[in-house]
Amino acid sequence: MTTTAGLFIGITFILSASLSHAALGESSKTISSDVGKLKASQKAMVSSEKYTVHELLADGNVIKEYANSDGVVFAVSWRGISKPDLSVLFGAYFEEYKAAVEKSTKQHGKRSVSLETSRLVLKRGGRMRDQRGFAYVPSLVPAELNLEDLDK
Amino acid sequence: MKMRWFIIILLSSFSLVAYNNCGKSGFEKALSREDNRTIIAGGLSQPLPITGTEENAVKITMGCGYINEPCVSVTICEPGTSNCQTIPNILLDTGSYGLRLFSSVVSLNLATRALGGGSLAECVSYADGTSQWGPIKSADVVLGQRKASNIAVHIVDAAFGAIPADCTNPDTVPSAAGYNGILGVGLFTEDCGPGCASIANNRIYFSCAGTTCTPTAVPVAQQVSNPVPFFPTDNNGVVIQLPAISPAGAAALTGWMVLGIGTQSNNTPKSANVLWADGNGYIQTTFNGKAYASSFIDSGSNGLFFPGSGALSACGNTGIAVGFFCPPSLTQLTAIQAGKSGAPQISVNFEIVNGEQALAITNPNIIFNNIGGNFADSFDWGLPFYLGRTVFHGIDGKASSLGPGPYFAW
Repeated sequence: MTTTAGLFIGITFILSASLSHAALGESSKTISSDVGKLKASQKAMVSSEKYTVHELLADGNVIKEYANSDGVVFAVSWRGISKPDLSVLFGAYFEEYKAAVEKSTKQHGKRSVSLETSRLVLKRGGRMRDQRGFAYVPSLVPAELNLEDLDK
Repeated sequence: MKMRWFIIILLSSFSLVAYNNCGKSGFEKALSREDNRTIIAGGLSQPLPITGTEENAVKITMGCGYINEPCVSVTICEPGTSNCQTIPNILLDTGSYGLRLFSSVVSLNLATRALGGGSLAECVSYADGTSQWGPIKSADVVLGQRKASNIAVHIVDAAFGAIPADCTNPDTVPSAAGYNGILGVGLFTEDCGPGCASIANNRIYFSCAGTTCTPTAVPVAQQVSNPVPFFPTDNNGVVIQLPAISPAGAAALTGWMVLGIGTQSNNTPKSANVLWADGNGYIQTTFNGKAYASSFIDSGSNGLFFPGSGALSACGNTGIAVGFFCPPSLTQLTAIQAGKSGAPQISVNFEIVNGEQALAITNPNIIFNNIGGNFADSFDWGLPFYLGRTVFHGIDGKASSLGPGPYFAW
């Protein structure tokens, strides 16, 4: 409820891939550029008081990167036919994600799985033709932001 | 055996009718104040007269590897020949599309499909970070006495070619996976569809030359496919019918998959509520006052997975019940299924049991109609939903007596 109508103060549609992007934990202002690494096209940027969403389209997946008011990416989400290159999206958090995946056991019969490392929370789910994921760094999430309200 | 089966069906149909009627009065009254649309208490479908000897009947045996796992046998043949083998313990999955088999259980000599100057291979990624990797081969696939000729099947072999970096934690042996393969008979034909036909870097299909595998676009006709639409008859969907069980669970259970909808006396519903699905195979479900547009019915999910709260706390992060709910006591709940447009609305009463108690190794039961776990932003009506019901799955683009697919009906 805290992020619904009224809080959105500006919507900008960007036609070129000129703005830089960042992996989790990196600055969206100074770090370039997931757009290049993912061969993505930038679709839109939506700002509210508490965060800015950068939306990319890469190889059949819609990717959203959520930056806090300091310009640091605190969450990423994706949805599409497969999954994007998570090493690009997770940046410095990728190795601990990989280690956690390698340690985890097969979860029989599950279409949705949650995974936590010491610094990262990941939820993946979906089915063939429609895979989804959402990862965030709890320590970087803006105060009083309910993650369930994020437009994923 | 036959008499026992008949009695089980009879009892289950009586109990379902009683259950549904009970739910109707209170529930419809409560909702009619705020919503004029009719909410139907439960589906209309009744048990079909399946003897098991019909050409389009496939026996389902529950629990070949883990809790709430529906399993079937599948016969494959070298295309156009009588060199065939029957492979048991295949997961029957209405949530995926196409046949996948571990290479170690395939003794036939099947040709690998070629594309882009190399061998066609595929990586299927799962939510838990595991994956299945291996070549695409051609086979005749036989279910009951219906044959899909020369279709693409996925042979799971982690040692094939050079596995792509993000094909993480590949399944290597049937024992770890809990099955010899997966039979995907869901609402669509191909496992990826138009997306993989137009996008080269789809991260699913690869062309492998020697030990180099590069991403490739794949025409839909070359993609791994649900065999059902390729049968000469009984090809517009499948029906799954499993008996009802008690809340305490069951140690063993069998049921039937019938090929085709409205094509034979054993797959023609007297009546059923049809839930039209969207382009991803989703229907709606409203639970706790919130509508989830990405909901689905899925025999390959072994519980009821949805956004739980309150008493529905998660079981421990380690141990037998990881990913399931552990409410202090058996919890009664209601959700409303609807088609993609929001109609018709069907209320479904269900229960959630304490996962750690149900799955305790001292409990000989391996089939439960009441285990579930958390799933954000979706309602996954897994195997418990099928127990005591007759569920129709209409394939995308195929006509049937219930209308054109994709749909679920019950």
